[in-house]
Amino acid sequence: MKQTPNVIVIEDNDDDFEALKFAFEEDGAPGLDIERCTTGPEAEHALDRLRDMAEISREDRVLIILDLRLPGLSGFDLLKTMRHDSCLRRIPVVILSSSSNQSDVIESYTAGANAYIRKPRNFDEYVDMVGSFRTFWTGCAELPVLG
Amino acid sequence: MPDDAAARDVFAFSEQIDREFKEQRSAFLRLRLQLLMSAAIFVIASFAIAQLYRSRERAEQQRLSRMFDTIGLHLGIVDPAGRFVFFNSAFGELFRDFGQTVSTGDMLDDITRRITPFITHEDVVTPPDAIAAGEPDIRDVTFTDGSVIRRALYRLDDGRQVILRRDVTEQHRREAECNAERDRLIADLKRSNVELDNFADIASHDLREPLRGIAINAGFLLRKEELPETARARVLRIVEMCEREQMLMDSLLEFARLGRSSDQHDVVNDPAAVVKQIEHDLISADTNRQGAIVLDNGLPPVSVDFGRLRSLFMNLIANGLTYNDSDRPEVRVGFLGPVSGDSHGRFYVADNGIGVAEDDRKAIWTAFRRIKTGRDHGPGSGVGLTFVKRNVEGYGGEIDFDSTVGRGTTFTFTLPLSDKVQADGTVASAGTNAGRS
Repeated sequence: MKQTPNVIVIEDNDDDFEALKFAFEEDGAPGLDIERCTTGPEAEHALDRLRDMAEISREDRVLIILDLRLPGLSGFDLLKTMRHDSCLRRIPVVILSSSSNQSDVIESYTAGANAYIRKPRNFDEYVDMVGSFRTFWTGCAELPVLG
Repeated sequence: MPDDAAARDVFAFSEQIDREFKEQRSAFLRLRLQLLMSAAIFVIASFAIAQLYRSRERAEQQRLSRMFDTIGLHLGIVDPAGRFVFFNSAFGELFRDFGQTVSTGDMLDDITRRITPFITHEDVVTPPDAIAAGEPDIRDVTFTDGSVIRRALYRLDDGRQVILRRDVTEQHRREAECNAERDRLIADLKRSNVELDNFADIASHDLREPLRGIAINAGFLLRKEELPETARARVLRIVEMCEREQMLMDSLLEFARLGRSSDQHDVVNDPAAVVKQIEHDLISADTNRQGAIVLDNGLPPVSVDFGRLRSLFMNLIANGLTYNDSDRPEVRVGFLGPVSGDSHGRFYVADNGIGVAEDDRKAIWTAFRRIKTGRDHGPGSGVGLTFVKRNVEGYGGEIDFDSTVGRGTTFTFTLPLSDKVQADGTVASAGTNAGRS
């Protein structure tokens, strides 16, 4: 039985979350399990569950899409925590931020991000972006198993 | 009697001899006296003249001494053996401050040794071999009481040393105050720039977010809802307007950042590779765009940040292709040669586009203004050429253009060449790697 979502979106902006969800649907993955966290505690809780799942099942695969600035949460800190956790360090994390500040990009990659993507300007760009996720994670690489 | 006559003759002769001898002796004595008198007069005159000269020299020395005293300079002259031959009052005062009396003929070394550690021999005089003849040795010496003396030492060709000293304590204090003030202003400026950057980031983020929300929701309407055709057209217009506004805000932010950082000196070894990449992005990868980008000759390495160089060429080339009504839009890029007497080189970007009317010559450099041509040339923020000008001027270069309406425009601009480029424009070493280094 499937235990974990395929994608965890840590994002407080409703429009962006909706756009991502619709974009995943349009991209041809309507059955995809998407979990959303809007605050720091919710994200911490989701990661705790991932740790538990990792001990039970090593078959689940997950991608995290992380906004850098959420209420009560620094995306950088969350990323660093994950990269120092033996259960979570291999989970791919895509930073999705509206910041084009170079220091944010550098800090994200330094903290261990797999990709830094500036938030799309419109819905069409969301669809293109999600398409490139699929192309990469299913066509070029495979999401690593937990643990 | 013949014997008597002979005797009389001899006597007369002897008397004549005697008389002549006496006359000769008298003349000799007179001559000797004259010689002695002349010698005495010469000696007395020489003495008098020497005395006169000496007193004039003393008077001149005193005048010199007073002159240096008046302008607050300590002047001392030391002969090759290290003896004082001259010093002004202020110089003497220096030693008197330490309880020492100094007079001409004293050994400078002895006196300075006695007043160490208040002052060291090197503070006053430097060994002759340490100073090149004709080159002054100038240094500031800080004393234990906090006073600072600037000391200049010159060695004359004859081995004498001239010591000039001046109290620069007040000057040092003012310089220290100015430096502290300058450091404070620089720190303020840096803080202000960081705050401005942060403000620009936050402002652009906060301004962009609602726009993105509008664009995304308009996208939902288009994708998810069945809209009447007129409504659909209006929503499309909303999306377009949002994109234009976003582009303007991005440009504004980049424009603000560009004005504050001009110290990025990367080296791009092969600017031609940058142009080729732009050709790929603008023409090869865009099926809607027709045209050609031609490199007339090789481009030498430049000491310019990679991103800025790309932005510069991109703006000029894209403008040349966009503002172009030719059947086959063409942009030519080339290198004209080094600027004489400068480390810059002159480049050009020439197009066969619509040209710039004389009335628009100044306006094309103004930020956020697009020239009205009576045609739609697609989206643009109107800051491209402002970026180009700022970039070029940020690197100490200059930019200008020649244009004929309907025929095209040629922009010429100068950029700092890499150290590898020689005066004739050739590159010193053969290793020219493509792209950025």
